[in-house]
Amino acid sequence: MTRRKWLAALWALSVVGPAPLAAQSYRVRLDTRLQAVRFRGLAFDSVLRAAVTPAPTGGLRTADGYAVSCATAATYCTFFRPGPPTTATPISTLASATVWGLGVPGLKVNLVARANTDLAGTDWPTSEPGLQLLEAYAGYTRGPVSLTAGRLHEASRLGWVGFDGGSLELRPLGRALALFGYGGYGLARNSPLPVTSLDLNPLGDSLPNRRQLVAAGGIRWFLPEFRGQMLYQREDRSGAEATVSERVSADWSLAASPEVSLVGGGDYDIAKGEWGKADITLNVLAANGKVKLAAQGRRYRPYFDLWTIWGAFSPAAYSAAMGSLAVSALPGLDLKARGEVFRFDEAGAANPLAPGERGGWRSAVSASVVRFANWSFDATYERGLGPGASSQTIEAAATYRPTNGLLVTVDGARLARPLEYRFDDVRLWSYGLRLDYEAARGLRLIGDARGVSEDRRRDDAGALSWNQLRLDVGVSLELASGSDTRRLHPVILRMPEGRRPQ
Amino acid sequence: MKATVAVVAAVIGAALGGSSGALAQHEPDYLTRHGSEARKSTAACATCHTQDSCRECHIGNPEVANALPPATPDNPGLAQIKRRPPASHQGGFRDRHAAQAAAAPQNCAACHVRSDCLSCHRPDAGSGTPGFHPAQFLARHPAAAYARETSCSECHSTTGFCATCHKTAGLVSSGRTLRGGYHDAKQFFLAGHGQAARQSLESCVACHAERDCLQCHSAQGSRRFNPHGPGFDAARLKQRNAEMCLACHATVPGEE
Repeated sequence: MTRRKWLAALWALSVVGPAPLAAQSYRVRLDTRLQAVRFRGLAFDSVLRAAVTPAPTGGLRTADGYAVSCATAATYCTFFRPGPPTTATPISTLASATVWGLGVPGLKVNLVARANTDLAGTDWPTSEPGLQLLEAYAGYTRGPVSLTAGRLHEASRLGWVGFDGGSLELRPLGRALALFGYGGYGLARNSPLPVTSLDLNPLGDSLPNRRQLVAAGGIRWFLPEFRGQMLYQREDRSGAEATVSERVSADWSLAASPEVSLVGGGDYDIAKGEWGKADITLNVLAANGKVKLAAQGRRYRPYFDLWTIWGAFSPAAYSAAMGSLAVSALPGLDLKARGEVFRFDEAGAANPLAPGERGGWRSAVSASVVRFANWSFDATYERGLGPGASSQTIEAAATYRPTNGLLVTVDGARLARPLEYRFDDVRLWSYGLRLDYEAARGLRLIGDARGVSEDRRRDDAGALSWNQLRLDVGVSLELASGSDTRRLHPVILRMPEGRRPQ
Repeated sequence: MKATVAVVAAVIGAALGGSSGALAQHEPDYLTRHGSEARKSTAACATCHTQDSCRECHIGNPEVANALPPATPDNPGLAQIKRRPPASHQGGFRDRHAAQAAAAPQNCAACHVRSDCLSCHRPDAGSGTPGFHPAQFLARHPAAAYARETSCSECHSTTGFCATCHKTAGLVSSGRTLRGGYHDAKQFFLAGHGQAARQSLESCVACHAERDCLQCHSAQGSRRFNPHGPGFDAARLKQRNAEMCLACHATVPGEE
């Protein structure tokens, strides 16, 4: 979308936007973020094999010191140079509005849209198209029936699925039981764009030429101790006998007692005839809730739609066991520890030319301190080792609240990570300062400065600097009818964990 | 009886004129059962609460507040409710809410609306606002993504999100012959990449297009390395979507 069209779209939004304000009840939120960043990436290059020389480390390199990769019998060797510096200034506005009380009891209208562009004129990722409609629907609830129509997103164990269509929910036994279904013309997975959009095809791959049809149905029950949901979802490419996906999933939670619960679920890919992801978690509260224990077993398998070839490449699944412990040792002091081991199934492709591990582990310990007036502190240490990658991170944050409306957070982290199957060994420091100020009821101002300082250890000229500084400013404006314009859930989501309880 | 005691306690607390934190509270677990008690009768609730109290949390179904009197300048309500996470949301609930949210989304819907989910689980998120991921996650996402601790593709489009950004950074291989250079820690990575690819295929597709792989793995090319692994059910896939077969095979296998 050109900048002129983008501005026109914004103008249209500003014209349409105030219309719901005249309705009886509404809630409108505008969330704008502007970022300035300067970075340099990598540039692919090649050199004649005859022009490379042996390096002291035993490999080959160019005359100016870049390690190269030379395929057997190839005339050229290839390598990466530092790319040109790039400056970008992306800006994104998310607008959401809910309107109800339109004269028809039970009717409400919801809209979520996003406008993006890069003021510096670069091709900033995901900034096209400039205006994206995430949701736009009307919902009507009367007694045991709920109807919704428009652009919808449904979230489930099967992931996010978006579509232009409708949904229906029936609750014949009140809250205890619900039968539901939804369907329509589908959007690409995890995107507000149709799968045919060129904006979803940066690599110039083959794309479907028609959108898929989505149809789903399920049952949901809500008993005091046992809640759950079963879902069947299918996607077919319209006008062709081609299944995109056909899966079922089940989720449930069982509260054996106020202190013990069991939560789990899984999915099965009918189209491919194989199990997908599954997990079961035992949660235990002890010592009046001061000790929380969790033990989990899970199975992970990546999922790909059948319009891609990736499912035919037999991606391997892994099984994992996880345990976690959280202890409120003292008032205002929380300690947590978590550990997980995992192991991939036999992939059937082991090769001594590039041996790799099948198993790994990850662990973390953290502490939160909220004992002091207006101050809270958080620190985390994470370490993990897996096939082709590892990481070791220590991070800490301090949050200061001088007044009710102002939050100041300083954070820093150190990360060590050998890059996956690469020659690099990276030590990275990052640091940030974040201000979150509620200037008035419903108006928040956000400022965020983040720096990254990287020490890339490799013995050739390819040890480019990735140091960078990112500056963010943001404004969140929330308008609502009535007197309850106080801060709502999105703010809570963005609160640093361990903030002093109110 | 309990409700009566709670109401009396709230009135006494309010009369003492303390801040919201000093007001007398309901029992610790009252929040979890206030709905069923309110459905029986809101007369006791109305002693201290107005519609604003309900709408502080019930933003998705604000009509639940209709049984209470509206707030007016003369009657703002004795109790001033501050929206905050319930006890069940403490202790890293953000990291483990997925299964419960999927099992009983109507529980979430009591206080949350869909845009709440979208503020973190934003399809194709691009604003960089801290939400689901911690601050600075961009700098350290490769290790998390490669280890497959969580599924990036459950929230992000691997093409529209991952590959677009990797392309800007010069990391993608599109349009090149596969002579390596990126995976330089193992000299013969390309020749022996099969296990790594099957274990981390979601990472591969964040930089590689289908045609990169088809240079060697297509049945129509000169190398014809079979990409199908253990348990591959060709007959089933052919029946469900024969178009996928044609990406590599000149004709649908078994129908020549």
